[in-house]
Amino acid sequence: MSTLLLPELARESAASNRRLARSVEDLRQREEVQPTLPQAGTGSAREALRYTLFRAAEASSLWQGTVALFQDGLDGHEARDVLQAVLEVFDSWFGLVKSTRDLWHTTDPTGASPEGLEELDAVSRDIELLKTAAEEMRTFLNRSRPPVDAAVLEKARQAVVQGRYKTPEAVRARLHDPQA
Amino acid sequence: MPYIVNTFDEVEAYLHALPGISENGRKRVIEAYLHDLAEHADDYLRRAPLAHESFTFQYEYVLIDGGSCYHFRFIADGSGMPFGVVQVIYVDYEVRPVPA
Repeated sequence: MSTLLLPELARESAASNRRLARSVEDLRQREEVQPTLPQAGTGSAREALRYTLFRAAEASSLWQGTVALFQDGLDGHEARDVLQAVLEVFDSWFGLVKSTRDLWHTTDPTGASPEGLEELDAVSRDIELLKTAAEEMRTFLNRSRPPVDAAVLEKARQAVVQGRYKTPEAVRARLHDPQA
Repeated sequence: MPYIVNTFDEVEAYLHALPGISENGRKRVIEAYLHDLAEHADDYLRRAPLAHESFTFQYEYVLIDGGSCYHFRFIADGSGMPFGVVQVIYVDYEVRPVPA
């Protein structure tokens, strides 16, 4: 039923983040066992950091796309699916951030604050805000509502049987011309 | 063949009296339920019947309009679906500000 591309794009992005986080973690474990030359280690950590920041921009863009879809309007199933997919992107991105930070700390045991980590901190705060917004939307859509009174529904059914309804043409006519 | 989606008078009146929503938003909501139920009523009946083997089912629609997020709950009677007709018999909604 759904023909939305964004959930698929988001899930691809999340899967890619997870693969990259595993690669960075594998590298960190190798560095721990058998350190390379310091320049090679920090070079890899710098690459991981650069790519993690790049992926933050993608996550942010996917959230903007999500908001645009909600502004166009979605059925409830689509709305939940989009939110779930974009939350997977945020979660996987934070996994990538953790792997990248761990790699930095392994390749730079002096503890010096490497160039770019401050930017990663700032971007992490931004993505955390987006993640919180997505979670709030999901909570809003998933909260249980009281069931509709069966007597109200039956009364409406009977009224419709008696002809108290509008055809789609009549509904649209009034929508586009309130005097109709 | 799409279903004919008839709307209980009180449902239509309710949608026209929605406070706060823009005219564009109102049009989106109405065009969406008319379209989605016409094209996909079978899916909604299968996915969200009100009770086991019930022909009454729920359809939800979500829209951000003017800084608010609206979550509509429509209830439709599908007992006329074998004859190509869906009756929309109930609607309500919840609204909250769009998270910053």
